Amino acid sequence: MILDQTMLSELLGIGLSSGADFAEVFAENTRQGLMTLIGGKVEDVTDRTISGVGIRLLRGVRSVYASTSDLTRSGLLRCAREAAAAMGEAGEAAGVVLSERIFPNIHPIRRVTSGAANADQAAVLHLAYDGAGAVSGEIAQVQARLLSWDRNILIANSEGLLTEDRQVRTRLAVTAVASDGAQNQSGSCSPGMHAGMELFDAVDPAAVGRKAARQAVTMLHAGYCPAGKMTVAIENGFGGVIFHEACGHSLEATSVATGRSQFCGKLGQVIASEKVTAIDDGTQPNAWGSNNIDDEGRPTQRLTLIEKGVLKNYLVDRLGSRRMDMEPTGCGRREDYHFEPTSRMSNTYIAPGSDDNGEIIASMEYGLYAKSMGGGSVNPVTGEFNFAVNEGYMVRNGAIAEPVRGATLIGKGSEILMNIDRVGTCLDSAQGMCGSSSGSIPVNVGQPLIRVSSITVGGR
Amino acid sequence: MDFEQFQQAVTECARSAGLTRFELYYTRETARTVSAMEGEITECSDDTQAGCCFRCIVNGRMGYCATELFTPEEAARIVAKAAENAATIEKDDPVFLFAGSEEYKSVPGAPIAETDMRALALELYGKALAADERVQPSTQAYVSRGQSVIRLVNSAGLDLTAESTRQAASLWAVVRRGEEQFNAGVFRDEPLEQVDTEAAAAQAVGKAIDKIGGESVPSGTWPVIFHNEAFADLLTAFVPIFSAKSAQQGLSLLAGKEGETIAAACVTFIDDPFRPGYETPFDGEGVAARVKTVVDKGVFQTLLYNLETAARAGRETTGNASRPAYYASVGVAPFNFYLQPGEASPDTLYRAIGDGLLITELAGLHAGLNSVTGDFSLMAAGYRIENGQKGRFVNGITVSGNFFALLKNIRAVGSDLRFGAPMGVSRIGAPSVWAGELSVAGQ
Repeated sequence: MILDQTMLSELLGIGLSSGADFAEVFAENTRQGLMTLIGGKVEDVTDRTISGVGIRLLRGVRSVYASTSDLTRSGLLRCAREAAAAMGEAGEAAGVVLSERIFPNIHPIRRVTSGAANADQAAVLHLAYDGAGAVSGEIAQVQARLLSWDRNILIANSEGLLTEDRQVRTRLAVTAVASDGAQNQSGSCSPGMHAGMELFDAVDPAAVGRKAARQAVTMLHAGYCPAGKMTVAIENGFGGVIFHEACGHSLEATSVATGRSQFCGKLGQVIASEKVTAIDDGTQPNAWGSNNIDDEGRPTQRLTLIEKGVLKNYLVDRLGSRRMDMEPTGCGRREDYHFEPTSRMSNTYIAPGSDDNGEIIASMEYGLYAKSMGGGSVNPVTGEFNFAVNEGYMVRNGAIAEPVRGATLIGKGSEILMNIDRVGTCLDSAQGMCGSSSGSIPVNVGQPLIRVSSITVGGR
Repeated sequence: MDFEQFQQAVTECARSAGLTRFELYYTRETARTVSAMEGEITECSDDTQAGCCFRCIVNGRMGYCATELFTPEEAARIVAKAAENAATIEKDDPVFLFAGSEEYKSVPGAPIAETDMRALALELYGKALAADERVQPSTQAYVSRGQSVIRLVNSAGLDLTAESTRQAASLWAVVRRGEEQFNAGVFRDEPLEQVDTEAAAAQAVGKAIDKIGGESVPSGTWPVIFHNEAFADLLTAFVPIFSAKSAQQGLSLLAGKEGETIAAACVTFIDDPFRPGYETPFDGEGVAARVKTVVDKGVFQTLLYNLETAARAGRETTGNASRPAYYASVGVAPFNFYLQPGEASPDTLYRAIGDGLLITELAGLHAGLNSVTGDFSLMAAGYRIENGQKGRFVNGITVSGNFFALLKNIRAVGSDLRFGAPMGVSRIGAPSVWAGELSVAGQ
C-alpha cells in the first residue's frame, strides 16, 4: 500500500508548509456493483472501482482541495503540491507524526455483497420481479436493481489522526409500471441497509416487488389529486422526507455557518410545534445512513436537533465549526474522494409522539392521506421546500377514501414545522440518497404518522 | 501505470483469457474550480479523474467492469470480472462492438484562454456587492474550467480519441430585507473570457431583489409561459421519452408513435452534436455523430437509438449511444437537444398571453415528475403577467400537468433559445414557451 504512514506524513507536511493550519488526506477504495433485471432477464451487470485521494487544507475559513485518481508516488506528491500552491507559498515541509486509532465497529457485516456470487444476486432480482408480476395482469414492466458498495476509507490529518473504516451497503430498488395501453403509472420500493447480503434475511425481495406493483396498479386506477391548501396526514417511513427537506438541510452548518439558512441564530428558540422532537442518529447499527466515523475521522453520534419544538443543535462539520465556534458533531460526509466533506444528515427522524393513528385520520374532515413519498428539495436560505407524494388517498369525513395520483407538497420550513399538530406512536424509517455540495450520500428519513394542519398540495 | 501501459496489460490479460471481442473506454478529466465569497477566494479545488471501462463479449453476452486503479493486478481482475458478469446476463439481444464509421466530422480544437479564474470570481462577487446595498457577503461566485479526453479502443479495430473543454461561471446573489433573505443565481456555460461580469451581476442581483415581497396566487387553471431556462429544465427531465431504450422497455409512451402528431405545429426538436463550441464527433460506441430532427412541426420523426436498440427495431442507429460516466453501461441520450426557436420575443409572448404566469424556476424535478407517465407536479416561481406586462414576483406555487398533453397544447415558441447546464453527455436547450393552461396550486 503506497499510502503508508511515511507517505501520509510527507503529504500532510507539504500541505502545512503552505501556511495552512490544518491538512487532511482522505483515501478511498470502493467497489461498487450494479445488477439490473428488466423484462424478466438480467440485462446489465456492471462493476466499478473508485480509487483515489483527496487532500484538504484549511487556513482559517479558507479551504483548498485537490483530488486525484493517480496513486503513484509522483501523482500523490503532485496533488499535495498543487493544494499547497493554491493555498500559499510552499515553504519548508515538516513531517507530521501520526498515531493510528481503531474505532469500534458497530456495523458488523455477515456476507459482503461484492463477494456474493452473481447468481445469488440474480436470484434476488428474479424473486422481486416475479413478486411484482404476480400482483396483476396490468403490470407491464418491472425493473429490479441490486446495488452494492464496499467502501474502504482512510483518513490522516495534521492533528495526528490516522484511522480507517470499511462500510458495506446493499440496496434492492424495484420499479413497477402498470399500463392500460394508453396510460402508464408506476410504483417503487427501495430498501437498503449498511449491511451485506444478510439484508435479504430482513427484507423479502418478493414482498418488495409486490409493494412496488401494488402502488403502480392503485395509481393506474386513481384520479388526480386536487390542488390547494389542505390538511395532510403523512404516513411513517419515507414520510420523514418532509422533515429532511423542511428542516434538516437548514440545520446543516453547510448553510448555517455562512448565514444562508432560515434557522440561523435560532438555537434555544421555538422553531417547530411542541409535538416535534427530531433526532439525527449516525450510530443506529447497520442502518442505511449510519457509519462508525464520519469522513473527517470523527465518531458519529446521536444528536437531538429539536426537542419539543425548541432548536437544540445544528449539524456541524470541521469547517463549519470554525465559522460557528461550535464543536463538530461527527457529520462531515462526502460522496467520494472527489468532494470536500461538509455537514450532512445520517438517519434523521421525528421521534414518536402519543397521538393515535386512527384518531389522526378521524380528525380530518377533508384532506389528503399521503401514503408513499418520493424525494424533494429545499432552498435553505428561504426555507422553501418541496417533496413528492407518489401514492395518496383523499380523506373525507374522517375516513380514508379514493386513491389519488401524486402531487408535490410545498411550503416554507419555518411555517410547516409549526403546523405539525399530531405525531403518532409508530416510528419507521426508509432509505434515500441525499444530494448536496459534497455529492450524493445514503441517508435514512423517518417519522411516525403525522398530521400537518395546512400545506399546499400541488394537484390538478 | 499510465493508460497506455494499463491498456496493454488489459489487452494481454484478455487475450490470455481467450477473449476475442472486447473494448476499452477510457476517460481522463481534470477540473479546477475557485469560489469567491466575503470578499476573498474562500474555496479552491483541483480534481483529476482517470477511469477505464473494460467490456467483453462471451457467448453472445456483454459484461462490464470499470476501474480507476491502473495496476497489473487490477487489469487481470477487471478482465476476469467482466467475463463473469457477461455470463450472468440473461437477455439475448445481439451485442455489438463497432468497427468504425466511414468518416468522422473533424471538430475544431478550442484553445482555452489563460483567464485568471480568481480575478474573475472576485470581479463577479465585487460587482454583485456593488449592485445594491441589500446584497449580502454570503453571495458566492464560482468559476470552473476543465478538460476531458476520451479514448475508445476495441478488438474490431476501432481507435478513437476526442478532447473537449468545459468552462463555466456562476453567481449566487443573496439579498436581505430585515429578517428575511432571498437568493437567485445565474449560470454561464461559455468561455471565461466572454463572461460579462457587469451583466451577470446585474441579472443575479436583479432576480434576487425581484423576489422580495413575492407572493403566491390563487389555486386554479392558469395560462402559463415557461421562461427558457425553466422549459429547458423540464425538457431535460423528460428527454428519456425520446430514448429507444425506454420505448422498447415499455417506459416511454412514444413507443410506436413515429409519424404521429405528438406536439403542436410550432414544435420542432433537434439533436445537434455539432453545436459550435460543444461538438461531439462520435457517440459512446464510436458511431459517427450526426444531426437529426426528432420532432418536425409537431410530427414525431424518430426515437434516439444506439446499436442494440436499432438492431431490435430493424433500423440504423441514430448515433446516440451514451456513456454518462466511464463506468456506465452504454445507454441512449442526445447531445445538444433543443426546441427550435420561433420568431416571437419574450415580450411578444407576454403581450399575446395578456394575463397569466411566467414560470422562471422549477424545483423538485428529480422527484416530482415521471418520464414513464408524463405527469409532473413541481414547485415553481416566477412572475405575474398582467395586461401583457411582466409584473410582481410569484412564489409558493406548484405547476402540474402531463408533459405529453403539454406538448400538444403549446401555443407559441419564443426566439430566446438558451441551453441549460450539462447533464451527463447532454445539453438541453429551449426558448421561452407559451404552454397553454396548467393547474397551479397556491393560496
